[in-house]
Amino acid sequence: MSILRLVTKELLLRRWSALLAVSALGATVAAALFFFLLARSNEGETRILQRDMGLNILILPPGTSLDAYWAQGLAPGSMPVEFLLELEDQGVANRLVPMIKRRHNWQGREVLLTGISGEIFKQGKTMKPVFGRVVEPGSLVLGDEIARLLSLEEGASVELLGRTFGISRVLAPVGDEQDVQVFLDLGDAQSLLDLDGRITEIEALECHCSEEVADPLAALRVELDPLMPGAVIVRREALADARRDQRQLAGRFLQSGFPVIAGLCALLVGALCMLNVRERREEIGVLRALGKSSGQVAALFLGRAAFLGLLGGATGVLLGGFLASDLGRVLFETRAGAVNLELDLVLVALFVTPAFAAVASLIPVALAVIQDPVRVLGETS
Amino acid sequence: MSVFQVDCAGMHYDLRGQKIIALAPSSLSAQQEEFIVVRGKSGAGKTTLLSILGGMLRPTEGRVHLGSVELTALGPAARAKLRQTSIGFVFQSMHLLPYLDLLDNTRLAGGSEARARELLEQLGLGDRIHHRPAELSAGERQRGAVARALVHGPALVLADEPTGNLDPESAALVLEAFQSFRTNGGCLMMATHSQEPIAESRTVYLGPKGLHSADER
Repeated sequence: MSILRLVTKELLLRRWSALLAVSALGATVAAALFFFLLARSNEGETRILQRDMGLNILILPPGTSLDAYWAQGLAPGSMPVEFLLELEDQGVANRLVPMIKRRHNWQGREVLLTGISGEIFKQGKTMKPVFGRVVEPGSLVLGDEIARLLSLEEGASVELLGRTFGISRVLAPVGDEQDVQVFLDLGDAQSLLDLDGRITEIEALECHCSEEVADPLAALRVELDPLMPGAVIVRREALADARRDQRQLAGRFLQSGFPVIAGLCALLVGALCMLNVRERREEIGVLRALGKSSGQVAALFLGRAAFLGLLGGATGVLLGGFLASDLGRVLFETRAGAVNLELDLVLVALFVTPAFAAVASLIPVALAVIQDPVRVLGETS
Repeated sequence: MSVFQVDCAGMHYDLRGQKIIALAPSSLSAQQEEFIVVRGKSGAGKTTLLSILGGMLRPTEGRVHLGSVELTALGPAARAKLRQTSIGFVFQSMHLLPYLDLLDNTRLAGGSEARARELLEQLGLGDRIHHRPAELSAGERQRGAVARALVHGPALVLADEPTGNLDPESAALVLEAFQSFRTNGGCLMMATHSQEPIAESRTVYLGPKGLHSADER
């Protein structure tokens, strides 16, 4: 009689027990998967939310006095735009936003003229732009407060420094310096302010925030100084540290929490499988007494455990994936926080669960088959 | 050549520092077409003797030969192989697999389906072959266990109280099957509490000093 026939007959008779075993295995796999998916999505969501807090590195022209910078909100000097090209090949700062900032009295109001471009990414990477601002040449984008004070609206034409611009957009109020800024294309600003080929500052995003770096500012300087001799590098500590700490916390939660959850689930799966085999020791004794080899007996019990493990793994993937996805939609708002159940994760669950169930069953089977059948059957007198 | 030869085989073990003798050193041999009945009190070691002869328990002393093979020198795998081909065993507790019907339980030991059906018919179970153990009476299960011990045509059948759960009519069917097995060249050893005489059998007694014949009682 084939092993498959024996497994099938046993499962058919004890179908409710088998169903309970599959449910228990499925719930265990689902719990582990649920935790992993949510913790990973939480990490992604945290990364995006912390990134969106703002750029945390400021690079100023050589010789800039920081007291003057903080007093005026801009660097009096300038630096060559070629510095940006130098920054393409480093690994500590990304999302580089070059700017020109100058104060200007415009229609009787003090405004902060800001020539700006979109982001430039390090090492030629292409990413979804978040920072910077693309302003079409010949147009202006106004902060809410300055537009209100000067009674300017979208679509209107205005003169600035002897040149006519169209107002392409009035920004919503944000409660900071942006409300009194006048944004224009970086090229237009260079031309209007006689700063051809120059910029006054670069803002960027620190790249080391997910790693432990003892002195982040020193690390930045070590890498950037040779590329931009004399440039003043400022790390906005509170912003950068908060971003780093929060990202590391989310990472640690996943890295430390998942092994604990997975270990507990493995323990439960192992205990379930071992318990099942221990309850069927008599059958092992009978089969051994009838002369079945230890390999045949092991195949019978391990085959059953692996089959139930596969069903449990599949159930767990469906259940855990569905629950994590459903809750993820409520918890996370960004695309990085979306719960994704990739094929490789499914395959791991479908492989690991039956394999682990079989290995866990192997221990009591091995202990039973090495004993004399009569001892297993309890027939000794 | 004898079917089996037991030379001073004994079994003892320690239980919390106390030496327990499960089987006093015993010697015995049997030929083909021989039916040996082992009688003795509970705890005398009848089941232990059958288990040792069946290669399911290794004695702590003495030697056992099955045909020309020294059973006590074999490892578990070789003994299992020998059981599959040469030995049939009827357990006191039957030990039928609960998820197989009677026919499948019988065929679990090997042999053809036709032979299994034939034996079950002979033992009065022809109308119960597709019933599982839980759907059978104790006596029917016992007869099923007897069929399983005979189905693969072993040289030696060891039966531990095979008629203990049976009514006289069913017991007669079992003994008839055993006699048929014996007359076809088989050797049979049966342990029983019963003092009922069994035709064409040799009775040996098992006591604290081991096996002895009826004359030595």
